[in-house]
Amino acid sequence: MLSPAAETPRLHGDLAVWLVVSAELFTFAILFVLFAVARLREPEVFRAGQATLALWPGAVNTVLLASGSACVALAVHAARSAQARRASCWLMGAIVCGLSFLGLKSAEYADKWEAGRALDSDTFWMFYVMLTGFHFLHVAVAVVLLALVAVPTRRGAYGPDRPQGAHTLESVGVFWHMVDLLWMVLFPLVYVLR
Amino acid sequence: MSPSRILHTWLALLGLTALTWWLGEQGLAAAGHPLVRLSVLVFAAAKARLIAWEWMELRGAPRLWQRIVGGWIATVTTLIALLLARG
Repeated sequence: MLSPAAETPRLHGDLAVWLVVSAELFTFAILFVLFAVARLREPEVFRAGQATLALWPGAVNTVLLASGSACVALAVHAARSAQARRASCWLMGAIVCGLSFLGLKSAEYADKWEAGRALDSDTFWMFYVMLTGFHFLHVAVAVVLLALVAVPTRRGAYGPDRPQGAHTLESVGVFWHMVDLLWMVLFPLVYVLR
Repeated sequence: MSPSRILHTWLALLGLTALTWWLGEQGLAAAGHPLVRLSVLVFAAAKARLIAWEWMELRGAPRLWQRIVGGWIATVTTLIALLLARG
């Protein structure tokens, strides 16, 4: 039987982070809908632009972000269980996934840049750069945040015997998961639905 | 949030991603099949909800936050589906 405390609904992570998450979700929602509206207005331009995008890098990046998220969730679980070393190992796994995502995305940008595609090429490429570039920046910020908490995690700064518990690690985790969640909509919208 | 639950969520996400990728590679999502396009968006919504409920732990969060994020997922994917259906 669960204790009353366990049954009480609770938001994991800091309220300020959740407010940031809400603002980010709202911003991306506007960008997603604008992308769909622009696609409706210029179907040929979007069809031609999307036809040059390979699906596999998007799919691999989805796997990388989902795997990074699993690592973060396992890190939070380990920290709550007072397994500091294990938690930091999982965080390193998430950082590797994040850096791999950034590397693969950078290669995709370089490829498009060499092919003469840029922000001002046409409406599709403007949205492509804006949407994926904005998301890219969020992944980079999330990786930096993970790196910042990795060392304190290894030292046991977040755990059941600490006054704040795993609160800081949970907050960073929520931000990372938001980046992952946004990609789950971005990938089909930009790459798959042509 | 147990490790086995985290693993199951990860496997579900990989499965839905593989299905989405397969539909895209077959050209089915591009061929304008309304049901295929709808399926891709339903998979996207399912993946987003899994991440929010399991890994962001909204499953045990106050209802207001469940409504905000759940409402975001439903609204965004529905709007995209409606706009794509017109194209």
